[in-house]
Amino acid sequence: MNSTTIAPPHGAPSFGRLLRFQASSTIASGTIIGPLVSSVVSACVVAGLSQDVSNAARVGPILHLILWVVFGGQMALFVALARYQRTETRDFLKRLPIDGARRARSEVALDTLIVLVPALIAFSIVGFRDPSLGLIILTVHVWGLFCGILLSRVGRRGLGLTLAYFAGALPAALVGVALALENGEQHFLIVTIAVLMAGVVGVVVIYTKAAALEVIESKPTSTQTTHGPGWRLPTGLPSHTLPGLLSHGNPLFSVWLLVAVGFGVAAYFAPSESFIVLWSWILSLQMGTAFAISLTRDVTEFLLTRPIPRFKLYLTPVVIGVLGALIVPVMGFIGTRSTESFEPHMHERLGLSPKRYEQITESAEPPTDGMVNDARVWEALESRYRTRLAKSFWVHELPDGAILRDQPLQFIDNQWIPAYGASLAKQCRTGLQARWTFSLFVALAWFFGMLILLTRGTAESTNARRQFRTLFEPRVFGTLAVLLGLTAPIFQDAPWRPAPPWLLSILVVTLAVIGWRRLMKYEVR
Amino acid sequence: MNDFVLDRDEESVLEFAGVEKRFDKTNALSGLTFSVPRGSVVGFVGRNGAGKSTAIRCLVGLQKPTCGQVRLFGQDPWNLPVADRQRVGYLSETEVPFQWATTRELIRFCKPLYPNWDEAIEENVIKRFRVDVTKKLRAMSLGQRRAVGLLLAICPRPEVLILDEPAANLDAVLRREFLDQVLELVADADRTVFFSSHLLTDVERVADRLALIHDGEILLYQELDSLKENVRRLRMVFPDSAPSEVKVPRALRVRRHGREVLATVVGYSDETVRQLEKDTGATIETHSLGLEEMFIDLVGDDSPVLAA
Repeated sequence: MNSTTIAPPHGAPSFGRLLRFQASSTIASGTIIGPLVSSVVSACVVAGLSQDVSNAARVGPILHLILWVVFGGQMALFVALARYQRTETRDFLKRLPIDGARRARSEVALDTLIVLVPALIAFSIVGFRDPSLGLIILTVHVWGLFCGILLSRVGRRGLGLTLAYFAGALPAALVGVALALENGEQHFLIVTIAVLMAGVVGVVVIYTKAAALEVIESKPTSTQTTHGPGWRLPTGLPSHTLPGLLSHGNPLFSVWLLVAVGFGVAAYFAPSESFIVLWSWILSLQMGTAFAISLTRDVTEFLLTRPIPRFKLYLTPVVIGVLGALIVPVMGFIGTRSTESFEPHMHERLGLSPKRYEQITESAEPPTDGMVNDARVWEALESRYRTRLAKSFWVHELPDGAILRDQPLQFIDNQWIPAYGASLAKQCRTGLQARWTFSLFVALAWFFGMLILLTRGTAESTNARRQFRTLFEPRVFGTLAVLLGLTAPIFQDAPWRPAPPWLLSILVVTLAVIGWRRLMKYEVR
Repeated sequence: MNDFVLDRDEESVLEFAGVEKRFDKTNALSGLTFSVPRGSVVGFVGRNGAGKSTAIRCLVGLQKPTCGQVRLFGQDPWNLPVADRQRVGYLSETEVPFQWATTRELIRFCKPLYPNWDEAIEENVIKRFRVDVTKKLRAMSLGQRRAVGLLLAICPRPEVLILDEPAANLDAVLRREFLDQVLELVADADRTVFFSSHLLTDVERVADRLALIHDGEILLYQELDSLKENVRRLRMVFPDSAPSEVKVPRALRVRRHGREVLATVVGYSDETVRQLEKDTGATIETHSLGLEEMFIDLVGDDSPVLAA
């Protein structure tokens, strides 16, 4: 009897090959770069922050808040996004004779890589300075991973991503509230409430919009999977105005804007160099991402072929993005200035004449008289420049040459040790202003850098190789330069110093010009 | 290549002059040269990857040529003023990207941009393709979504209508409807239509000129009627096996099949055929070609090419 022999299959694809295949669509969508950049930059900031911390009890809630919101929310978002981006690949693989469990394992392995590799990088940056912070980072990354995986299973894409973000971010806010209450730090409580409010309002906005306009996508289509996450897009929509953008735009964009306002308020109450820089960065990144998403190939093509001037097409999102990125530093700057008005009658509390009070706080010399040795004077100074940054200026070097670090101002030998001989108050004020300005520059520069990077990456690339080539193009130098500028000032012991404002100005202007020119020359392929 | 450029007294509305476009190491267009006179309907055909979409993207100002010049209304499309852009209608090969929007929202967005927006056409397209203006694009059928794209392209009553694969993926009935709509637009005025297509039957039905692009160059650009008349296939039968090299003047493509040589030629009279018979010693039959056969003969690669 003749029998037909079925040739045995050549064998299932190796796990590595499967993983690579799964990863290709994730890489193409750029979601693998996001966590990496996000983690490294945040870790640098956190490392600086931990070093800058001179009052652990006071900064605790903020640190927790930042860590949870940034890493938890971001990671969850990235994982969920990466999963949605892989929809097509997943559908394709489902049709192949590959064991389902094996396929699922490779999916989870990829998600884990997306989250843990950046986590390890972040840990190595932070961990050596502060192992406990490093551990928190790792924990939160894992939390983000779980949230991302679980919430990506929510059938509705926009809803899933939104929930993923807030699932990561809300615990942060709760931890922040708890710690703030415990420490009785009212202004940090306000910060936390601001974050919470931003989140809650964001969710309300999304659901209101979803109900009214059905903004949230039901299922990703193939076009959306290829060209971007498929949210409603803000660029060039009927109204070129902010209300138009808010009412018709990307729901996440609205949330980001609200978060920006929330953190603007936070910056007003808790102006701190690292804090501001961090949020300037994260907002810029978020906005850059939002605009990059909005500038998908199809949308750009559609709008460029209508009678709309090319510059107008890009002007609105860029201007709004810049304004958004400016919210935090500007609010922070105003906050710094306003703290002076919080204590208008400090001299009365100290039993000093206004002139004497001014004389002491502006003193260029180390304090010599009995009054100066009074802790109340330093409290006055502290109140006046209510920031950790100010304290870091005050406490540097003891008479024996030892460096004071990571601890509150100390009362040694019955007297407070002053900083260098220069005018303390002036130094504080100038230093703060310089750093606010710096933050502002960083925010702008980062925004433009990310705009260039992400616009190219998302809009032009539909294949992984091209995307990677894009990312490592020389034009990215601007972003890298900003990255260096960003990390430089936060390591206060570092032998290098932040670049002078004029250099930063040149950098910002150059980036702005490059970014703008790029947009003007942008070719739809 | 100057054969493809118009005479001085003909007014061209769009023109390619030695256009090259390189993407990294790939040459998408290599010296594309031709011009389109006002009022003509040009079918732009070629194989996949021949450079059709790149040429169209250069034409609508989405891409810049690496070298050479593209002209639309005598101007560089990249910097085409808004007033001139209002005279151009464009339908991309991709769908209208705003899947969340209703047709009504899209019309509201586009209408104010064009001074000549024709509500009669708008109504006609909506009726003809049964488009529900309150429905979101993503809830529509493919045909209806394409119809919305067409609506946005033709309602401004453009002087130049550029269509990139307008009827791709549509069924025969919809395709016919689609093309009829385009024909209606061009029938009543001196409008120019430039459209790319893989469907040669559509081109044959609508176009009065055909531009055939191959490997980034124009291989053929003629009025359709004269093309059909001028381009013939010669079936040359040799007594023994066909020689390895056959010299056929004005041949676009020559292929050998055993004793036979098939040559696609341009502008052959009966006299020319008789002369060729004499020169080669072969018996020659002439056949007229359909557009599809012509296309396969010219750009197909299934048979070995002896000479061209």
